[in-house]
Amino acid sequence: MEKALGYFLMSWVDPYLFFLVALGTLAGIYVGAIPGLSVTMAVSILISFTYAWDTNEALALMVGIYMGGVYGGSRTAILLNIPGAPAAIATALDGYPLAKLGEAGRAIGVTTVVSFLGGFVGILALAFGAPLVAEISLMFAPRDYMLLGIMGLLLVASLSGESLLKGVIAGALGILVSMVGLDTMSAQPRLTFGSSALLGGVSYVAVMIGMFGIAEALVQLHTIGAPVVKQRVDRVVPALSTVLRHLPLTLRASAIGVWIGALPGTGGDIAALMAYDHAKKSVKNPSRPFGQGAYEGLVAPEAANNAAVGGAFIPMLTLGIPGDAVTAVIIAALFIHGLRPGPNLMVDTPHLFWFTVGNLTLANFFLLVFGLTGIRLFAKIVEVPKAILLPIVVVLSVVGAYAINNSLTDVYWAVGFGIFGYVLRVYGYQLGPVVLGVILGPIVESNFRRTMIAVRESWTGFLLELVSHPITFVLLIGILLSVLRGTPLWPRLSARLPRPF
Amino acid sequence: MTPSRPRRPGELGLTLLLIGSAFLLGREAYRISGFAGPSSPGFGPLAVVAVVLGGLAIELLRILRRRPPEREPLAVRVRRIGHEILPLPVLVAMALLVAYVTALEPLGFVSSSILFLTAAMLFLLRGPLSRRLLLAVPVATGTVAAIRLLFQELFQVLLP
Repeated sequence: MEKALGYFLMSWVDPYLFFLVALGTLAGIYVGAIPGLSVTMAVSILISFTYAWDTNEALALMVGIYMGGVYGGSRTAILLNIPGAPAAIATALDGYPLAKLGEAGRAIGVTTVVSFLGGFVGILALAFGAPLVAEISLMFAPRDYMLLGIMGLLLVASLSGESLLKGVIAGALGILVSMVGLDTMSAQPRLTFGSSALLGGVSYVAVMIGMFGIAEALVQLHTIGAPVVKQRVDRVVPALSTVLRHLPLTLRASAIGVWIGALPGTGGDIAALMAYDHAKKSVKNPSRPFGQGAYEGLVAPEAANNAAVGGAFIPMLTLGIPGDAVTAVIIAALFIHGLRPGPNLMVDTPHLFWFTVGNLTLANFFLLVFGLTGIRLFAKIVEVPKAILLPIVVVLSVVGAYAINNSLTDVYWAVGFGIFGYVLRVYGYQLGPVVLGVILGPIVESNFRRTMIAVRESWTGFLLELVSHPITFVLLIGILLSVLRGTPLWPRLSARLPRPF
Repeated sequence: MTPSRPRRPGELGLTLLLIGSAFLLGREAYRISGFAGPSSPGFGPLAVVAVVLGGLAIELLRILRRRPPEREPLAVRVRRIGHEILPLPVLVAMALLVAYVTALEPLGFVSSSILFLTAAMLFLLRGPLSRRLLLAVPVATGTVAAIRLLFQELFQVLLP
């Protein structure tokens, strides 16, 4: 225990490591907030120049960037309706309406505090629940990951704005985009139309930049003449009563974040959407209607996506399986530094676990400090005339798309998806489902195929698999209930159900 | 039942275009492995194309049930499309964007970005040309310089 505490406090007492965690968190907040730059990208770029660094120094910086970046994505989601990261997609739904009402400062303040609280819950879960959660996650079979992916897609469909049907179409289009290129299981070209340029597939980051960067900039041009809303950033630190009022929801959303984050292959993006959906269904009297600036719609996804950071480290450190894209990159960094993430990591290098927990805790405190002190400056961005801001957003999107593979092809994809996304938006199709389809499509498809191979392509066997395993059955019921809740049948059915309270 | 709203200009055209594209994707998906087993590489794409086509077919029926747009003079129709679907700032921004990415390779990032930013700001800003020029040129140059410094020097990102 004494040793563990020593490892935990390493970055707290070493001035250089302390500085690196602070620098990483600050950089993460701003990189995560720049449209087109993702935290995954920032950590990936960092790896290239930490080859020669000491492992502890490299990890301290990367953990800071990760923690700050997940939170930073919420800022542009609130101020510009452009999520800086997929984990902030749900944040934009109520955050941006709040900015339009002139409450951006307060919204960012609340976001910062609940992100801190969520992050703390995630770290606690990592520190004390890692072995248990890892054990449960180990019990998941491909069929469960498939159902989890479907559940994520259904949540997106329920967030599709005016038309569920259009949400389903948009999500399916996103899945089709994810299928372009060489099949990961058979190495067979798919949907390439014979073009070798398409063999590598379409980068989901390029799709995201196009849909959320360029398309959003084009849509914003509809209101180019509208006067700029001056943001009220006088009250940044939220009142204690506000925090306490949202505390139960924060804790519930954090629990969702930890759980989803800990499941391999799912990260803050799905956690945030599930928490938003949970808030929508469980909060009876939100501060405003959801989608029109409800603080509950901010609290749930932001607490969940930061809680998912701690959760995502659980499978990474204990099983060597990435919890999301960033942890996949961090696993690569650990390999570069001669470490082997997995069950043996905790046996061979026990210090690494408690060192990471200590770094995450420190980064979480820095997040609170930097988050609450830098808002005034940051909110000024939204007061810049759109005529200046939007062309800059386009240039940043082009730079971001190019940085994926240092290739102009990704820039062309981003521009193509930007224009396509604009057309879809104008005709009432939401873009969130497209991007989530791109991200979740491969999870659903590959695990479906693995399940089918396991049952020798028998549909009866497949259905039996879904109902004969407790975890799978619970997930299946969850999906069915989720679908049912979106139909007109639900009010009639729920009226007949006996009420426990 | 709420009274159906009239069709939006281009709504039918977009849906038909998406259906046509989905058919093309369906044909390409069938070429992967035909109607082979559910674990085959072509099964997923075919199934998703079927979902897209099914959804679009329902959407098409919904659109056809709506009142068709009233007959109106061409000039009025063009103005309405411009107002609702493709306002002039969007049209010009799209043209500038396409010109910008086309110019990236021959002109390089710095020149093409300064040109794009200056042109876009000049068009989008309001006020006398001299004032717009005084604002657009320094902001465009400063932005590109800052991006170059931040990305190339600090983040070590190669610029186009």
